[in-house]
Amino acid sequence: MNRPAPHAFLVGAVALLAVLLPACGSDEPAEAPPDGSTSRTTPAVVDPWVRVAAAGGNSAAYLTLTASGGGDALVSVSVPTDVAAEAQLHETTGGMDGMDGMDGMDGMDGMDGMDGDHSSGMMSMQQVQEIQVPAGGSVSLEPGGFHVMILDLARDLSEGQTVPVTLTFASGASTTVDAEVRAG
Amino acid sequence: MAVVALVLVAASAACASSDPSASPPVDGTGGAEGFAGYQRTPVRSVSAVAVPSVDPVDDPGFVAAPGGLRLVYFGFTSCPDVCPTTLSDLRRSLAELTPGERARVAVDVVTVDPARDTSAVLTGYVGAFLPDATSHRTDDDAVLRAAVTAFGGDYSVRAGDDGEPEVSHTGDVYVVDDAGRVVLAWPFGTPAPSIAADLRRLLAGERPDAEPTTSRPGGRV
Ligand SMILES: [Cu+2]
Repeated sequence: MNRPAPHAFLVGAVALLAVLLPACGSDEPAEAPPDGSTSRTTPAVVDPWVRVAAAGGNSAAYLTLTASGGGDALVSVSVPTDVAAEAQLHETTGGMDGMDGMDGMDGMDGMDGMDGDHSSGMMSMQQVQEIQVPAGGSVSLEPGGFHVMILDLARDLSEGQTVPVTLTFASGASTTVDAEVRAG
Repeated sequence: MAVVALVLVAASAACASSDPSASPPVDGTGGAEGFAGYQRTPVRSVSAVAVPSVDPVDDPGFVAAPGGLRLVYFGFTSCPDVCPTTLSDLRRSLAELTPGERARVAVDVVTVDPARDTSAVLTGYVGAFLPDATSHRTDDDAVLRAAVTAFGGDYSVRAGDDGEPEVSHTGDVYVVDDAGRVVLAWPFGTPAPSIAADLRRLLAGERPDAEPTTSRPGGRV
C-alpha cells in the first residue's frame, strides 16, 4: 500500500532481476500479481482460503506467499473480531516424513521409503513466531504444515463467504486479503 | 447399519515404533503392494476393543458388517488443520464410490479429547463432514488408551503454556474388515482419489499381502 519513494530504485532493480531470472518472472510477473496485490516489495498472496467451521470452534486459513524481490517474513496475522477472537501463526509437525511427496504415494512400490513406522507418527501443532518467505521464492501455508490458526469463531464460516485476513511482515508492510471460505 | 465407521482415534503410532533401533522388523509396515495405504505386520486385530458410541447410541465396536469395511479415525474437534483435512478427504473419497460400494463402508470417529468434546460438540462436528458416521467418546482414559493401542496408534493431551490443552495424535485412518483386522491404514495427507482406489480394491476382496499367514512358506490360510 504505502510505498516510500526511496525504495523506487530497489523496485527497479527487482524488476530487472525478474527479467534476468525467467523462472521467477514466469510465476510472478513483477507488475501484476494475479491476486491484484499492489506492492512489489511485500510478498504476493496467492489463493487465500479458510476452512468451513462452526461458531465457537476453530478454523484455519491457508495461502501461498511469493516474494518476487527480497525475502521477508510473515510475523503476525489478524481477523476482524466479528469473525473470531484471535488468529495465530501455527505449524503442524509430525506425521509421515516427507509429506511433500505424498502426491506420489501411489507410485511408492511397497512403501519403500517407509521402513520403520514413519507412516504413523504423532502429529501436533505449535504456535510459531514467524514464517520466512525466501527471496525470489515462496512458502505455502497448507494443510498439515504452516497455517493461520483462527480461534474461537464468533460466527459460522460457510462456503462462498469471504473472510478478511490481515498479514503483517517483518518489513513492517501489511496487507489484507479476502480469503474464500471452502469446505476444504 | 453404520455405513461409515470413522473413528476419530487420532492416536495410532506406538511410541516404541518411533525408535527404529528398538523395533524389530516384524513390527514394521509395508507389503501393501499397489495400495496407497500401508499394512502393519503382523496385522492388528481390534475385535476386542470398543469405545461407547454417542450417535448412534449402541454401536461401540469397530468390526465391520459382513462383507463391509469400517474406517476408523481418532481425532478431536478443536483441531483445525489435520482432522478436518482428513475428514474432508474421506468425504471426497467416499463420494467417488458407487452407491453399492458406499453402502458397505462405515465410518467411525473417536475423540481423543473427551474433556472438550462433549457428545453434542462431537456429533455436530462429525456430522458436518459425514452425516452417517458413528461418533465415539469415553471419559475413561483406560478404555480409550486400549482402543488406540489396539489400532497401533498413540495420543497425548497435556496442558499447554496458555492453559489450553495441547493434543498430539496419530493422524492415520484405519480400515477394519468384518473379521476385526486392520487391513490397511492411510497416513495423513493420502489424496482422496488414492483412498477411493484402495477402497474399491478392498471391497472387491483384494488385500495387501503382508499377512504372515499367507507369506509363510507352505502356510495355508
Ligand atoms: Cu493450529
